[in-house]
Amino acid sequence: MAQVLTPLAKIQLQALQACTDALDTLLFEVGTQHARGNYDQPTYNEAERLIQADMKALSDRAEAITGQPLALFA
Amino acid sequence: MLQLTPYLRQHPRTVAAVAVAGVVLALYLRRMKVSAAVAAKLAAFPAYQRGRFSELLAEFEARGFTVVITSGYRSGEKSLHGKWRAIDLNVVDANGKWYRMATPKAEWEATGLPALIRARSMRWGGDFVTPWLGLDGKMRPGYDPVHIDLGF
Repeated sequence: MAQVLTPLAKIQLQALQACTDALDTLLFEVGTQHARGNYDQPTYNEAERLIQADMKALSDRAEAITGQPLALFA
Repeated sequence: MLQLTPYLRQHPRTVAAVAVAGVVLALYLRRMKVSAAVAAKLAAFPAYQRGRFSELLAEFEARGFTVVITSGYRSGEKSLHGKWRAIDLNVVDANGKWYRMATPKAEWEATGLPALIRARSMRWGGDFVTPWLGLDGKMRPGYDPVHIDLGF
């Protein structure tokens, strides 16, 4: 059950969503650069893992505020 | 509307045909309905390719997976990415597990998604076995589970 959010919580949620969207954009850029041969495989694998872990952390933070995980992408 | 009503009464077959066509079109468009994030990354694709990928990815999402496209069109590239005929993606299941380049083939298969790709006569990079020469001059393993293309 979603909680009724305070104005401050709404702002926090917007910030978390914006960060998630930025990481999504970064993941796309890293994926494309890897495909173009600019990163070797181990570097790309680790970059994917780190970015996705950060996305998960943002979602966990949103869940602590709202009671529900962040929709991964707006 | 008043002028149209007699026409509709006189041409019930036409009305029925238009109604059926409308329902079919609505169902077809519904099949292609993907999340806003996926739609945004496919927006620049030509209509045919966008339709093919949208249909597939709508199925992924309907099964509870979040789709994260990690590469699409790449200008100047000789691969199918340079022809708007390939995408790369990661998916996240309902438990938050990410499926990515480093995920073993058996785990990808267990999602059921590769079967959906093959069922549409598309190619899944997880089936690739032939090493290939990257643009950087280095050899890459054939296995490329984040890749989906429409074939040549």
